[in-house]
Amino acid sequence: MIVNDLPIRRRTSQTPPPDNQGGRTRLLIMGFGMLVAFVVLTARLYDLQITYQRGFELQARRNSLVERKIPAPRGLIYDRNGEVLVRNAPAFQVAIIPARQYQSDNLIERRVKRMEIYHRLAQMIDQPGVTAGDIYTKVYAKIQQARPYDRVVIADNVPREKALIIQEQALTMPGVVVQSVGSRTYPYKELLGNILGYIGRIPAGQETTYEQNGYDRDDRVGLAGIEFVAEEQLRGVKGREVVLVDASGEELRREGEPVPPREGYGVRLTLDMRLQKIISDALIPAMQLRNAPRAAVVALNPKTGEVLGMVTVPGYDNNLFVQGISQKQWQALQEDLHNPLLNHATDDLVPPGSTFKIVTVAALLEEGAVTPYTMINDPGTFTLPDQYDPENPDKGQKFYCWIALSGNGQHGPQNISDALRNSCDTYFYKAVGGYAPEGIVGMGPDKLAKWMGIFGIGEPSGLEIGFGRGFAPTPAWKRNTFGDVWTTGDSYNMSIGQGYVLATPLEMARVVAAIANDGVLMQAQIVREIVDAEGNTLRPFEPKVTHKLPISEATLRLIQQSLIDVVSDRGTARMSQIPGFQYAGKTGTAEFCDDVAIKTGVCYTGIKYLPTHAWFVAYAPATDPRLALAVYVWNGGQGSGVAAPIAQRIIAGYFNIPLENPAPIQKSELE
Amino acid sequence: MPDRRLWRHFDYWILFAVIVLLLGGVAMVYSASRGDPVIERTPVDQAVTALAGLIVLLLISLIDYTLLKNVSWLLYLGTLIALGAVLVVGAERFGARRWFEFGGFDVQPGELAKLSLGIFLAHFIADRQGRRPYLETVILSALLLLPCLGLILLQPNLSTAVTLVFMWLAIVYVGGLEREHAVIIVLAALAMLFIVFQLGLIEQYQITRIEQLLGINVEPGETYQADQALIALGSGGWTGAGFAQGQQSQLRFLPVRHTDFIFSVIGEELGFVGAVLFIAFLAFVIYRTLRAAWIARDTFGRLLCVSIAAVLFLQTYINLGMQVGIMPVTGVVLPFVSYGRSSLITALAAIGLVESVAMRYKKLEF
Repeated sequence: MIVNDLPIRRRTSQTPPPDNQGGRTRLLIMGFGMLVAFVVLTARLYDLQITYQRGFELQARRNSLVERKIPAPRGLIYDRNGEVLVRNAPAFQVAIIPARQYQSDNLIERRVKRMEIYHRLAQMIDQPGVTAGDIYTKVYAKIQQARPYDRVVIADNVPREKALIIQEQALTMPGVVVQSVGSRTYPYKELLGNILGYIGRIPAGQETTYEQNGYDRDDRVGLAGIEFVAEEQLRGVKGREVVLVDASGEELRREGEPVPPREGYGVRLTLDMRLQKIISDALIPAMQLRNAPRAAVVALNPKTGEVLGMVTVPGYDNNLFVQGISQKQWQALQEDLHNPLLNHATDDLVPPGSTFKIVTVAALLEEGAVTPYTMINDPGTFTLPDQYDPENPDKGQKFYCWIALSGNGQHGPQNISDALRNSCDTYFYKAVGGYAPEGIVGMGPDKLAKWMGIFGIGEPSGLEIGFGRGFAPTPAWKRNTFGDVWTTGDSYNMSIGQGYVLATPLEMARVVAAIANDGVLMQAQIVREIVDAEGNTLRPFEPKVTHKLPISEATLRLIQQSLIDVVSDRGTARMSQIPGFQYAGKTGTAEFCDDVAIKTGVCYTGIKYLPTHAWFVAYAPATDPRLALAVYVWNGGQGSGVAAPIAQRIIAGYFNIPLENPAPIQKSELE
Repeated sequence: MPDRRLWRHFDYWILFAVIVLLLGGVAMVYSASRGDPVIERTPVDQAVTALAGLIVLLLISLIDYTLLKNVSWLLYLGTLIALGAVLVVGAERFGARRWFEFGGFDVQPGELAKLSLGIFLAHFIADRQGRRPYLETVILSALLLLPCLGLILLQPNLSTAVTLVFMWLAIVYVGGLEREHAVIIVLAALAMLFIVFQLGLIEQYQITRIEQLLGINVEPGETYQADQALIALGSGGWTGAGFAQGQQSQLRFLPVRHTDFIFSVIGEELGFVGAVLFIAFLAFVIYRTLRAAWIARDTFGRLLCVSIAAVLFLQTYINLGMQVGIMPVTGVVLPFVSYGRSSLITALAAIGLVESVAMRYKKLEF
């Protein structure tokens, strides 16, 4: 290291490097080391860029190419004649793109200006949960996620007018955008609310289930009614497109060809909107007249089981659910004792009253309990002797035929068709429950219960919406439920569709439809066909037979004739005849005193006459029937005075028969 | 104007290489900052700084570097004071105090220290050459360097500290280190490392970065920067996506792409060919710096050039190494190429010194 040719003293740093040779060697070594290092680096670079290029390219693509789904327009719902029952209408959302907001280097000014905009927005939107603070929280949460170009939806379901105003003013509110999402409007509102149902966000807790079926978290899905049951057909298939995005999530352009979405299939219902309106026009004024809070009408094609009309009151405006129902509106629906959310045509379980006698007649004749010629006397009022003390008249239970209560005395001796035509309670009491003093042994409740099932009461109806099922009581049921013995009185009540008997309006419509259809009970259906966007039928309509009733031709004819007689000068519905047009029907006036009746004050302890549902089942025309009908008016009074006139108007309307003097609707029982 | 003969030895090659790198750098900074409003102005800034830096380069090359010996202690003390002051009055960014802000113009004393301490150490060692036992010189120089390192680690700025240690090693090595000294030096370096860790001068994030490089204790998303850089570089292929066409760069997936990660932009857009060209030019500049050391007329000049070569090499290597995934992620820029006013001026000033040394080498011309 030290070169000794110079005296140390004279050595300064200005002298040439003392160890020229050694220093240069070291320089060479150092330079060589650096070269090796660079070669290693280059080799590594070669590995990255050439050997593994493909893998990195894929990762780069995955970074910037994002697959987006293109929403599919939801299929429409039509009536049987192709009338559109629901429209696809955009719902408006107000969103903020954080990156496009007011910018300024002055952070305080920026904050103040942005808050000013949030305040303005909140005022314009005017929805609960959309305050300037709420907007701030949502927007800044997004900024935290470093996706400043992702839209932050700050308000859903903004009314169109407001959305347009906000859109106009968006120029002065940087970052604010109005966007639309697929939604629905239901032009018929309450008239079809319970049938069509509604769509909405995926219910909380079911996200995973829906996602497994290919839904995205923000999708709108059918939640009730046809929208729910036909979801699979209506939803369609989403399209796909690939978009180039940058690191902040801003979309730059579309890459390649998008896969277009497939529009949802159309659902054609069996409903006939013309009939639906006729029913509504007949029903609503009658209800108003009677001050009746609840009613339902079911109209079937008796030959096919198709639901041609179904009106349930009170209903709900299904638009509310799509547009975002307010807490207040939701509470009102929940608290209404007459439950607007319930389809009363399919789910109201109520005593069917005398309309039920159709079932009783069929059972009595087919079980051989009576013959068409068996005569039973109706004295109007009679006493059923006490089971254990038959000699003591004081212990006996008094029974009345309705005719005695209405002050017209008695029916006298009746055969079974008289009894059905006149709705003679006493005949059915004695024939089903037995009457010892006259030596009549009753058929008993078990057989009648069996026949209820045969007529489809308490059985699945086949209808896609609504799942209410009536109830056929039996002595065994009563013992198991109340620990009590079935009495003859129970049988009496059951025989006339009272007591423990429950049925839905749809079930009673099917009972009368089965009679109209010569004993073939059809499954009720409301979805007629599935059609694609081009109008091709993908699934044609197929009537489905539940079963053929085990009922003789003679019994069938007897019942049919009796029902025709009901709507004749001799029958209970004589007021509701249609001149020149023959149809069949059966009135019913069903006493009730259920929870709702007590809560609404319709029924109370010590009331003299129980309140009644007005019922009428019918089919028309009498020969080759094309319409079967059940009319039920909750607390509507008399079947003959209220329900039958409603049915008369519906039938006349449906068959285009001008009614010069429609049957008056009985305003009250005091008339 | 100094002697015209001076220009005869002016190293035009190194100037040429530097200018090529500057032009390439400005172009890539432009590509990296395109369409991003936050860094839109950086290419213009970079070009202006480069021009100013070239003037500085020429001015410095005119000054006889031997004059620096008179101010070497002053430079040392000034550096120490600046490094101390930045801890007190410096601007804090990303959790580190490294910057003085002078009305929009940032100065990193750590950046200047690489040059000033290089001058000081070169002089300190050259001056004692032959007068004092070399081992004593080495130890003394290490002791003088230590307070600077301590202050830099307090910022904290591990990469600058490592660069300075590397520079010191290079100087003392070329300055005449014997084999037996080397053992002592290595032991001393290990001891220093031990002390540094014991004193807690290493921050957790620095350990984490090294762990990330080794692939231990890595949490998802933590290595985002390094991953994106690898994706950008790796997708380049032979010739790249084309200038201003790289998806990773243009779509901003690549972070700090105009500064620390500019090489990833180069790799993605210009491919292996372009990347290797940049490396070659950088290596060439270092080679010419070592050549100046080779021909330097005195020890001071030689060691000065060695210090500059060492710093240029290590900065380049750390920067490129972090992008190809063989070095931990640190805030080291690529000399002459990355955007950064302070670092660019310093680098060009250093080349000015190299020129000054090269121009004044004596081939016994009288």
